[in-house]
Amino acid sequence: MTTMSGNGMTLESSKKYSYWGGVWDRLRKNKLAMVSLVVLFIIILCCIFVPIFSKYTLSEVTMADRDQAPSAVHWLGTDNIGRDLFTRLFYGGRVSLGVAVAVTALECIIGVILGSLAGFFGGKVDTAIMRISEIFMCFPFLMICITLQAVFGNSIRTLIIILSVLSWPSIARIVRGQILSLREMDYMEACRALGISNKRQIFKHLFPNVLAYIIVYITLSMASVILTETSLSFLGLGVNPPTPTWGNLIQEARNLYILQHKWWYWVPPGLMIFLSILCFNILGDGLRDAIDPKMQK
Amino acid sequence: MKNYIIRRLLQIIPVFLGILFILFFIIDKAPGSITSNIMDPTMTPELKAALQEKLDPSLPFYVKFFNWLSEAMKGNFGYSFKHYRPVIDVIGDNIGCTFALSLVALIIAMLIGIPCGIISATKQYSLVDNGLTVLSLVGLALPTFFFGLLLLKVLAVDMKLFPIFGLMNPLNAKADFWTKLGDQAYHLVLPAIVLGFAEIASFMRYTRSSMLEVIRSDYIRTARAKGLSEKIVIYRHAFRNAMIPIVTLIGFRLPGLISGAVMTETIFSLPGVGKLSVEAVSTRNYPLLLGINAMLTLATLFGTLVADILYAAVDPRIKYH
Amino acid sequence: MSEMMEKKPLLEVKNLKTYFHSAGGLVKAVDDVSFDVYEGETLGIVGESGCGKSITCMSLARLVECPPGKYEGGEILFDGQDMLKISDAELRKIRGNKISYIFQEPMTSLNPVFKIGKQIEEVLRVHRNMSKEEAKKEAIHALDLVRIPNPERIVNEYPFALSGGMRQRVMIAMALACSPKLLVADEPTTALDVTIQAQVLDLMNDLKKEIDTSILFITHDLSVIAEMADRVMVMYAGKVVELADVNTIFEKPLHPYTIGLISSRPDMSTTSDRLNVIPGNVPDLSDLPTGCAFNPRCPYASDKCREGISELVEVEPNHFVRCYYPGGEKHDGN
Repeated sequence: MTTMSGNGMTLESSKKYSYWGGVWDRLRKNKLAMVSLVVLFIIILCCIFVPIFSKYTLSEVTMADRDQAPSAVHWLGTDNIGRDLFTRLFYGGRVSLGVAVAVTALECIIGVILGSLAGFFGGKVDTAIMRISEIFMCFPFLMICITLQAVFGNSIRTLIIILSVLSWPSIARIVRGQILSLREMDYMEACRALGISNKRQIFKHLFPNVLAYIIVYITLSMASVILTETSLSFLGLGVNPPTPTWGNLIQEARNLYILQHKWWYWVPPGLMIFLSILCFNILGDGLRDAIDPKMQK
Repeated sequence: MKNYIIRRLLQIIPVFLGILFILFFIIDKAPGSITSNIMDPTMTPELKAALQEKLDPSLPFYVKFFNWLSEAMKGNFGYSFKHYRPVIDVIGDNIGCTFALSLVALIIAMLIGIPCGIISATKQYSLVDNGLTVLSLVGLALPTFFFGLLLLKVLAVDMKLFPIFGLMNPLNAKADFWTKLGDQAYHLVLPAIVLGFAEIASFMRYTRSSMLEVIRSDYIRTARAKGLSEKIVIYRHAFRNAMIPIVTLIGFRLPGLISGAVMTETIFSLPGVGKLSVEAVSTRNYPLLLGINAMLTLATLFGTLVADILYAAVDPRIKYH
Repeated sequence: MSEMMEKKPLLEVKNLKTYFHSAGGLVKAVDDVSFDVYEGETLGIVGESGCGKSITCMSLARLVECPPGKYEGGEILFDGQDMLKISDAELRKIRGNKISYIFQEPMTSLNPVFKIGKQIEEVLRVHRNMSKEEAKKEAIHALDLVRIPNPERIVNEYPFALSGGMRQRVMIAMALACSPKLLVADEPTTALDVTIQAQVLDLMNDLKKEIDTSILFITHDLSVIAEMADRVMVMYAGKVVELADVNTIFEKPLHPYTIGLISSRPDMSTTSDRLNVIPGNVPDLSDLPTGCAFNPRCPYASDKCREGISELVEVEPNHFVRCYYPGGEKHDGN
């Protein structure tokens, strides 16, 4: 009998390791996702510390140095008024990534609040919120952004507000769906039967489950906001120059001469956009697989 | 089935009105609002006066909205001073290009993306699957404008294989119908590749995950246990089921497709609504912007409706709900 | 019993090994399993979930997904052919024709987007080369055979329009459409209500006589086994632990696990209000104890059981047991 209970114990303890520990363990095994995490980390660090390792400032105009190809002095060359493009690339990254973080945060706050309201209260509240979200989801997204930017003028602040107000429905629907399905699950039933209070139910059981989905969403949303912001900036409807963003920098290539002869104007920002979207997408997929291992196999 | 379509049509109306209301609300806030430059100069003075009265800026917002709506229902979306023509005609001239571009891209995406997704799913974790997965990740991450610029530089500017901009060579203006059509198709090749590439990736990913889920289901095991060939198991039994969510993707992808078309038209200077709307913003042409948005919203809603009908057609369970 | 032995075996499984190579390690789901199925008999396979009984049956027509599964060895002789060696084309001629399956989940085992009729016709058209009209007639006949009312109407219905019991009847009709020599029923009634369960079991027993097919019946429910099987095979952790005819199993079980199973049934004849249970849990197949996999739960286990595992021994005619202490006899060290 002693061997039996011994066996039982090991079974128990092996299953008791924490939820997030398990997620991290599975994520760590996904090489592609880990590489993406490292790349993103490097890009973010470069953007944060660009004032320290760059000899040039953001808007330092040196007419003597204008229109130079990449060299040891100017790693990515200079633009037509002699600004160092390497420096501007990472200052642009600050704006592009900053906008993405701000929009994602705001949209998650709006979406989680509305989604939880819909999920918990159900009935008329649910119907109303879901109808409104349907309307938002049917907007031709980029066109509405263009229109709104035209009406309210382009500034970073309006851009952030517009993008987050337009994108909350997806996360709201995810949160609502999770709450609805979790409410029907056996363990919530068991909680109710055991007389555990509502508040404790929400925080102890619902929260970690929903949080997992929100984290995946945040990662994927970062990618899509970067894409939207750079697209708008490329059209000249995002962030106003001279503030650099990756979209603004690449916009220079709409000039056929620059497109043809000066790759250093537009290829580096294009690659940065591509790389960061790629990494956020891979990381998001990896996180989803790590959180829900059933989906993987 | 008929009832289902009618019910879905009725559901679309409030959503459409809701979107129009929000759009009108936004544009009404703009300086030099829609009401001030909506008049067609060729109208009789009486008609002008009547319209002036209806859209008087001092009127309450909702009254103006309903007045505008009743005019819009009659096809009067206002007048575009930049083009010296009514908005509806300007949009009509440009929507064909956008429509053709989106449609070609969508067809390319389905014809390539769906089979690739099936192959990827049936050979999960193989070299082919990994290769296609990497390609689809690249396709999703490569922004339309960057990919467009790269192709434009390499294939059109450097190698001179394709035209750099426009929908037609001006020299062909007087050519016969087939030459013109061929020339337009030639001009659309690069834009369609650019727009189609990202769509291929999303169709592939979606097909792959949908197929993977279906392949593991009990009825596929049943089909194999019946002694059916692998071809029939995959392409008849599995694919018919995997198609159900893919069909909805067509509807979901429409707004993305339109956004993509806006970017693509700008890069390749194609005369479509995308380029038109970017111009409308810079010239503060609000009636035109409102008209384009209304049109695209309607197209999007119609797309989701078509997707829903297709969905009901492929999933026998839907009709009875 | 002795006349059974004179019949020739329809299916001979010899030392079958089906393993799974997963990230968590090697799982020996079916580990050196041998048994025969004779013509016209019903062999029941019992065991807790995860003991390998389903994988054993799926292996017979190579239905295990490979990868992650892999047939590591052994022979499956059916009709003179080794099912593990024949080509895919030959295999397809046997599946659904000579060996048919009924699965556990009637709700998900039918393809939701095809009509009932079409799904039955498909088998007939593949194996019997019937025309569409002939196949349809035959499908209606097959539905009639499994006592589905209004078969002419049901052939035009989609699966979602039918109840679980009805769908399982459709599955049976589909499985029997080509009069197979062997019907493999993998827990066919587990998902059904008790009353429906009884109806389906009766139907299977009746049809078995009509069509003269052998049945391999898998279940974890001993009362179902008692009703259906001629012989019973008990599996534990991927191995056969006991094999005997049904009366012997119930009256004189010899393996400690079988003894535990039999005595854990609710017994109306005693006044005890507690159920006997086998202590401990079903072992994790990727992390089995050394020696006999049952040793941590076995009241008779000795060091010998922790070090090695017994062969499957014929302790009396036609009664095979894999245990050093059949019947739980006490040994010297205890």
